[in-house]
Amino acid sequence: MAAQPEKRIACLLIGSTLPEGSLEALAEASMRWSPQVALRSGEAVFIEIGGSRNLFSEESFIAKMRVLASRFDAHSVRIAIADTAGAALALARHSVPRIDSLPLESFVDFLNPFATLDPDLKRPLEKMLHALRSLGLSKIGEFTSIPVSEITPRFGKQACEIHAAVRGRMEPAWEGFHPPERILETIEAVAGGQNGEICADLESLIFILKAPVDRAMARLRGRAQRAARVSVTFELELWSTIESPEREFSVSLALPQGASAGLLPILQERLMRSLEKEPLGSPVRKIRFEVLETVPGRDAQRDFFSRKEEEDENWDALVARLSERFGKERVFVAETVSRYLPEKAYAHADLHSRAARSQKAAGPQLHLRPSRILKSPERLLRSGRTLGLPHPDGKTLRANWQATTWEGPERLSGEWWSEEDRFERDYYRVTSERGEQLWVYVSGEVVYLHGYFD
Amino acid sequence: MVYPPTPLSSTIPTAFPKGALVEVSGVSGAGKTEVILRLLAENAAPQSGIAPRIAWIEEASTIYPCAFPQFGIALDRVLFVDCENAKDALWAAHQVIRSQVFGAVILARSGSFRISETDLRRLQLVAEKNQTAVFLISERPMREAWPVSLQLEVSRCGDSQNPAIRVLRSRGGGSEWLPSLKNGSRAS
Repeated sequence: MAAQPEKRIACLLIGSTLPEGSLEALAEASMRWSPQVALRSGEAVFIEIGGSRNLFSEESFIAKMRVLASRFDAHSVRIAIADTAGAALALARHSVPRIDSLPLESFVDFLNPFATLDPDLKRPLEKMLHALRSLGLSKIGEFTSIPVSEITPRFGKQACEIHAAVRGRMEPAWEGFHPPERILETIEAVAGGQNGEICADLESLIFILKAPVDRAMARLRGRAQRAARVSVTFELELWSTIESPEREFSVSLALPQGASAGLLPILQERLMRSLEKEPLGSPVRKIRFEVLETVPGRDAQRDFFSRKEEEDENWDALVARLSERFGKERVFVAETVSRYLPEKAYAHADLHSRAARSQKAAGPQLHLRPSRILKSPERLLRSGRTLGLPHPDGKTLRANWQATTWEGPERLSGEWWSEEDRFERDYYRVTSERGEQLWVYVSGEVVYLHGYFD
Repeated sequence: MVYPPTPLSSTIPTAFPKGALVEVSGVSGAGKTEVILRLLAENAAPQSGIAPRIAWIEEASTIYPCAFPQFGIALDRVLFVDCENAKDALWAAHQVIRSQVFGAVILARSGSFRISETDLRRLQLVAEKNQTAVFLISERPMREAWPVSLQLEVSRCGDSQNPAIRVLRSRGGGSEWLPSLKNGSRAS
């Protein structure tokens, strides 16, 4: 039977007051490191990282947590890692390297790390602390050196529990953190400057929008999800000239996004186009960013030896940005399909980078296909060796070719069951005097230009 | 009918000009697209198991994806972008190059698609910075295209399936394929 991995609890103790909901958001974002996350209301986040020891070192974890905390405006944080939540909290609170050096006042952290026990717990604890101090004890190390057999008779049952908690033999039940379903981030849209000017231009708004987008995407990553549809809402100053105090922009993403680096340019593009058509009537007071739909994210661990995952992120971000601007139909990966009708012999494949990778190159075809195909075949005028492509007005020619050779035919017919798609064509590769090679077909008596061997 | 087509190495050398602009021009049906497809196919040898990705950007696209597999290019490695106008196509090219996902970017110009010197220079700088090969396809060679490293003109003689390639201009230096190209391996 495999040995249980050693438990290691990281405690992130917040040194300053955070805006409401920020600590919960930070806890949610921390779930990317481990599913076991707990919260001490308004004060600390606990993460069990013992099971992830092969993925990152404790030092690198601390560095990553500091970066993550800064995204949630938690700039003053203390991080400690220990075998129990109580020990980690006490070490973070008192900033000492070893449990033995902790003051006796940290007993309460050992007993009640998640702040879930009765607040009256402190009264008997104070009594016991007074007794210990009167004996000249001030550090936990001195307390743990007392034999266990002497602790209960002299200081009572609670002292025995503390002794076990300090030695890591007893621990309160883990208070699992369950994030709320809705991912909504809000920020006041006040630009810098002495007077706290209110934002009205897109550049400033995007700059401010980055913070809530960063936070929301970190939360999504914690849940191993990606955003498929998001919305940005601007709360406007209540000027008499505006009809509605809110403007909402909903963006459906062609490819779900898992990082703010990919999402922000898409939002910028969308907002720029919308605001060009209909500018904001007054300055923005507040910005709300909400993730409306999610899809499962990538569950793979980072590959240290290739840039594949980074490339996948970049691919998804690029495709989403291009699709947003040009439309989904205009940005595509193609795949060949079993259709004889040449213009329908390919289809748009799944743009998702993983799905795209799983395709295989098609095998050789019996007949060469041209590299260029017209969106719809154009009727040619044939006169002797001359093939002319008429203008839509039918009076003049756009181009003409002196055909020297007609190679073919390749007869393509099919879809007889469909009145609309039924076809029967004889395709030829026609070479002109100047060397151009055309792909034409004859249907009935009429010649059509369908492509070029360009 | 010949299948597979004659390898391009018999007509021009095939080293991939990373970080440079290459223009391939020729009238419709002259074979310029096929030249690029062959060049891409012969240079798309998988590195560490994965072939480089290709972005094909066109204004009012007429490219036929079914032609790619017959030149040995796997379609799943190619992203097609069909733009409405030249400005969009240039914008898309910049986005694609900056993403650093693609080994080669092909920007096909239609007759009305003019690229200014400034735009060309910007494209060259971004290609150089991101080490991406950029191919420009056009019907007529650009004039005063000094940021373009190599200008090739493609034409066909008679009913030959292999197009002839004429070097109009090569900036020299920086592109490893140029020396061999100058040593007479071009098609006549």
